Amino acid sequence: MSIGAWLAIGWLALITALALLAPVLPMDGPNESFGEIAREGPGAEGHILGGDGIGRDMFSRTVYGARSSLLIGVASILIGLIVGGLAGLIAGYFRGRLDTVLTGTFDILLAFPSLVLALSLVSFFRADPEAGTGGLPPAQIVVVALGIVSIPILARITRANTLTWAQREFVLAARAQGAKHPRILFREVLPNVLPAMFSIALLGIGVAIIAEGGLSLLGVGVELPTPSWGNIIAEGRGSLRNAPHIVFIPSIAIFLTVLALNYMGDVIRTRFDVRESAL
Amino acid sequence: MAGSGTAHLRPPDETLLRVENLVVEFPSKRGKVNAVSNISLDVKSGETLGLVGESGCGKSTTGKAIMQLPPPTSGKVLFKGTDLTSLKSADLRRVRTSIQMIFQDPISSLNPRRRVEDIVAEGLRIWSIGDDASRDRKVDEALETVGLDPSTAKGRRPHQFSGGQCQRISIARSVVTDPNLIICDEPVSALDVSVQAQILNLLEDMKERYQLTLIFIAHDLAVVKNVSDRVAVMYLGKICEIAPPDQLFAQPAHPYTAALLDAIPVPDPTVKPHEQPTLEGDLPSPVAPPSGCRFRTRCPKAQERCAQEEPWVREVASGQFVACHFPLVGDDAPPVDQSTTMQPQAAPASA
Amino acid sequence: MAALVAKKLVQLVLVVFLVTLFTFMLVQLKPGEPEDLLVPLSSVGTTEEAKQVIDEYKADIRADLNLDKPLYEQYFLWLGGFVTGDLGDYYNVSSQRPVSDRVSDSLPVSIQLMVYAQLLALVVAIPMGVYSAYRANRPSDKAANTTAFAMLAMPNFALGLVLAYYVGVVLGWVPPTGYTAPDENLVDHVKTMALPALSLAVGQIAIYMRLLRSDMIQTLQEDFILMAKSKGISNARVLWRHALRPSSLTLLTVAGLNVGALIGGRRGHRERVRPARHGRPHRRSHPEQPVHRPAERRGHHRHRLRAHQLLPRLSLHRPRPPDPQCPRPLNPPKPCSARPAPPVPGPPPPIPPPSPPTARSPRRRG
Repeated sequence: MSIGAWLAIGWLALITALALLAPVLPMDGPNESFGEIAREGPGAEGHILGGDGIGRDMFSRTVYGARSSLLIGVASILIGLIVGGLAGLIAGYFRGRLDTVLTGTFDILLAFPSLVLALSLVSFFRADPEAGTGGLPPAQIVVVALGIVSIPILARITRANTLTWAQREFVLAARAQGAKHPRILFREVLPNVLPAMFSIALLGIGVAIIAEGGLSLLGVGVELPTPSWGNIIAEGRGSLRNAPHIVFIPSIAIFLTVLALNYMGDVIRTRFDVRESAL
Repeated sequence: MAGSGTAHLRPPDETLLRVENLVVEFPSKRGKVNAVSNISLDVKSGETLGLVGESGCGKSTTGKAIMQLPPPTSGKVLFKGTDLTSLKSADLRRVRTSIQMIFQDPISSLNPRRRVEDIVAEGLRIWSIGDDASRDRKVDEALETVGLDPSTAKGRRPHQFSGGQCQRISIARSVVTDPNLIICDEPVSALDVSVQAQILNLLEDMKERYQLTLIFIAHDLAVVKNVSDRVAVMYLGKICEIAPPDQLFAQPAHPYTAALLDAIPVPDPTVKPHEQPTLEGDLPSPVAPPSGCRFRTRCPKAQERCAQEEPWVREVASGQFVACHFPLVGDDAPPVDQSTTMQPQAAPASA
Repeated sequence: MAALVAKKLVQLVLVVFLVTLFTFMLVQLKPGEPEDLLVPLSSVGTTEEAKQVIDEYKADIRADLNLDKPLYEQYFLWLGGFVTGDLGDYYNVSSQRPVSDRVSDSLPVSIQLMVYAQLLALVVAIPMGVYSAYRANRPSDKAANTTAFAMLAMPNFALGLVLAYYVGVVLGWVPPTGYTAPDENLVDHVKTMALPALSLAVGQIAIYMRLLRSDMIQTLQEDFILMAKSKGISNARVLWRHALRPSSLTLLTVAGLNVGALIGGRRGHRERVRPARHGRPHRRSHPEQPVHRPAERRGHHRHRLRAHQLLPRLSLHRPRPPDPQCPRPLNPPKPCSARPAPPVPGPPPPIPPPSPPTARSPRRRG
């Protein structure tokens, strides 16, 4: 593997480890406020990445932000992968009327601009303010909304790949040996479609992380004060002029993470010879 | 040619597989594709039936229709007396283990993501035949008989093998469940000539060792001649001629068979290839096949009658059956057509 | 051909119907009543008299928005209005304007921005793609690919902020916000559109470049290219005259789809989502009622907003930045503190919609 791939793996490992270990790391809490570092840039004493608008440690907030952002990215794509992947496999393998119905549904979902769809879903899952009911916590709502948005995309990729693999003669050979459809689907077809699904899923995690940022900017992302990369940027936007690092640090974190994810997706694609035209 | 009829079929109790009036049609954007139109075949136990014809004549479709993959549009497939077309899917799955297929493309017919061991053992695992140890033994045995070293081959994946070796793995996979009939769909067409002979010999060995019956589909007459007990020549979804290979090669009765034989290059510099008549034109579309005899648009002997009337299979010499009004061997077909059940043909195609 | 067009048109109508119906149902399934959001409970006080005023006002709104009619009627009233160009009214807490006004205010700016972004993307991506296909797997190609990856990974909302800060504020080359119409001052127009167009184009550049590169690599292996080279045609001519055209089909298809998605998707849909739930309102002017919004509500219920209310209200809840950053393109013009009064109807230069589709759009063809 190339240096780039190792760097990508290294960054993803680092950020994941930091996110997982955040509670035990020797650093200030993400919501502890230190007045003296408010809007201080990186390098402030004891706070290597400085402080945010109200003096919370930027390093700590970025690490805790990674917790939210990575979790949202992975969890939402997992939903898309399981639901969309299964639907795509079934549509591509059985074809016929079922395929027409499923593909039609995906097309209609895809006809929505994805951010608008995510936005309506978020607002749909939100509890009604006047009724005073609970509803899901905002982070989970974002996961479900982004998961639903990702379903048709992953389903289409899976279907396209399933179509080509299901026509291979080894599928015929398996049927000749008396294998049932589920066995063929999961043992013969799925292992071949998996690399394509996985490489798109990696890209999808990146897209979901960015989308969470977009939702945060619209005020419907992870609920404050829990930090996510998106809502740190949203909060820092107001003080861009005198404390640009509040926007820059999480932006760089998103950039590097998405870059690493895209790179790994490409490595998988090249390695398993996933046809790009199928995308 | 393009004939229908069942005159060439032998009594049902003598045959392992008997295919009667098989029809396979596919819907397509341009209309209904008549891939296989009313074909009848039979194979005796231990026999090898060769099935030859140009690409697109419906040979492979016939092979797959016998497996019910997909089931034919109409017709009967009697295997050991059971009509496969009438079976429920569970029973059909069980019967399928007795009929196996070997495919043309050795790469496409093996799952690239599975190890050879799993590929070969799959049939045993599906039917839970034996325990792990006995399955392992069977896999080893099958791999050894096809000439692969089990200890090195088992753990590898198909892409680590050559085309010929992949075909050996395919053969091992198909014999491991002790089938009665193997349908070989152009098993050597994708291989180098030097490897072809090895695989053909291997199939012969397998046939003896496992008492197999083979249906051998090929477009290469020379290959078929060496392995078959009986050869059926197909054209555009119909049967032209059925005969033992020696008879077929020595005195072809159907003009199409004759043309195919003439097209075989002769390794003799004194023979000038262009002095011999060759087939002209392309294969007509199976969406709109010619009326009457489907070969008439390219047949040197075609007459008015060939466009009107579909020829029926009849015996012109001992063991030699042909579907032609004016065969090269034997008499012309009797003028009054007994085939009152002649099926209507689609719109005639222009020659 | 005519049959094909007819078939596609029928499909299109069907899809539009299903999409609008789906949106309508989605908003409909949501608990609560829209008028409650337009008239916050505690806004006028708690006396009996105040409650009565509120109830009357709410009933008024319900009638105005056809909410008192059965569901299917609401949908078809809206659909009828939609196809005849009446998109209903856009409700704010304190005002009401036809949605079509807002669309016609913002659509020209959106289209301009889209055209600039696509042109910029193509102008950069085509030479990049051609060169990197020509030098496939050499260091320069790898560098171009890495750059493309980096471009894809940039969240365009963050890029918009970063560019606005550095180029607009620190360097002061262009105004970080604001919009100047081209007929007003062309230089200023270009200056105000440059950053938004660039931040929208960056992701597209990467996608276009990679599409062109992969198609071009295939074309360059074709025999007719070898033939052209063997005739002694210069490399540049082979690349631009012989290889580019047969390689650009995918690129042009995707670019075409993106243009559609950008016009129809990014803004048009947003405007459409809202009226879908309101039914078709009458065009009579609404009794302007001063609605006081108590300060303590601000900020606290941000997460409880609904889609149809979300966009206009965001501006009310968001702490106003001290600098001239205008938070969202979707805000009604008035809340932008640093704007020179209200006269310009067009929306502020959009911080690019933070939508993921840049990375997704090519996959939509399928």
